[in-house]
Amino acid sequence: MQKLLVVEDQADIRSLIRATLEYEAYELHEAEDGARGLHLARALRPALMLLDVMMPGELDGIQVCERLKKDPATAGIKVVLLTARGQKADVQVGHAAGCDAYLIKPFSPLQLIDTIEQLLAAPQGAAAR
Amino acid sequence: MGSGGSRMLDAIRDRIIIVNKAGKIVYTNAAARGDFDGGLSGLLVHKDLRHAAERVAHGRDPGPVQLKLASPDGGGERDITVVPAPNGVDAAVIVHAAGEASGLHAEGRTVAELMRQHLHEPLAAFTDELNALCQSRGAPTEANVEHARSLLDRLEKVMDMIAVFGGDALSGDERLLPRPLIEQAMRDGLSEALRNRVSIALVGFDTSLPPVYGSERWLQRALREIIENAARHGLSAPGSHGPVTVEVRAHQAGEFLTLNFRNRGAFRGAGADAGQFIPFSAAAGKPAATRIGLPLAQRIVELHGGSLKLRGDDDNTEVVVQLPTGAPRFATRQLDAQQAQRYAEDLAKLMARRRAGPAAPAPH
Repeated sequence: MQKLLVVEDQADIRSLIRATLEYEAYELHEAEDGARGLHLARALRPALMLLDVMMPGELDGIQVCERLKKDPATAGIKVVLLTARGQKADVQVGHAAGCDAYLIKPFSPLQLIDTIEQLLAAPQGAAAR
Repeated sequence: MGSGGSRMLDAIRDRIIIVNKAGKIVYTNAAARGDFDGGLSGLLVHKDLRHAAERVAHGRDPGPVQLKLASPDGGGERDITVVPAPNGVDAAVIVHAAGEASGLHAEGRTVAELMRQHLHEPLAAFTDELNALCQSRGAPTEANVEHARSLLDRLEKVMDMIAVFGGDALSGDERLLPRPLIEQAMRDGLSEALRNRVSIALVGFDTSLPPVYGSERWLQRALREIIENAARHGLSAPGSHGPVTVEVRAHQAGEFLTLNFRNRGAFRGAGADAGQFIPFSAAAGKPAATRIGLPLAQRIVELHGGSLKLRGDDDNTEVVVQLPTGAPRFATRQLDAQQAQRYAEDLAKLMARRRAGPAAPAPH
């Protein structure tokens, strides 16, 4: 069973994601801030991370993504950034950080499932569009 | 409804009530169950809502039907959407959560409140003085003139604020990297520094500093004010010899970005500190067109969840600004409601897909 890590400070959003994915065949892990998310990503090596961009605390989603992608040990983890920031420049910042896909809130549960399936089916290095 | 779907709806702050064709409530989510005493039951008997639910449940209206109804508990108008329920045979009534207005709007009111507080009382007092003068037909006294001058100064400050903030909604979710933010504030404050023969230096800057979230314009304006304040007081500082430099430092302390603006003797001495944060206290000379003052700079920083403090002694004074790193904890409340709403809208499709079994991912 593939591991998924959800890093999102809002408990409601984590709950919605958990409910969306509960019938899918994934082992779901959660973290509520960037520092904890980075720690869990290094420890668990999930196949994919759903990573909120705007999180309070020492690390936001962009920083977590940058650190994961710079580290050869974690660079292979697929990263989907979840954000309310949908402007072109913001998307560019996300892609510059190395994310594999970018979901703009409010996102559809169907879109979420499709993006995850697409990324996990894709060969290493391929990004969802 | 399955436990997954039920839990999903329970996570939504909007009140969700599913009504069958006979008008009977067959499901309520947690938010609705908690709101029946809060006016929801009164709202549900409104004829417009009952008719909309009936039309949708019987398939005569595909929905969504949007309604805006007065809450019977006097809580103002409630936005309501009626859509087909996820099972395809009932109607789902979604009463959108009230009081989900962005915390940022509340902060906008705080700024307005700040202005009101510092103008209302003196204006009222001055009006009383003018009335008394009219009744006594006496000549204005020196105190009256001084009072009028003080009022004009306050009004000028308000005009400065309008010049600075005019027309801009407070936007609190820009991702701001510390270095460009500070460098821009330094460039903005340069002319004031040059006028006072003061230089500005960025020293000891850690390039890996985390971003802060907030309004770029507001924060830059606050930082510029601090720099300009240092520059204005640079030459007049007791014991200052030769060129004066404002040093700007930045470092991370836990979940805070700390900015130090330091200038030996360049800021007002410790004896002047008490008056430094009295809002709209008169500065020497005519204010520049967009001078906002340290009190408002402090307020801007506080609105971003941070603090601005003066510390030091007569010879060594600095302004210390602390800003929380990462996103503010209040900025996504409204978005959460939108996200939950989007989930509610697509829930029926998600259920249908689950019933149909795994499908190939849709192309993007």
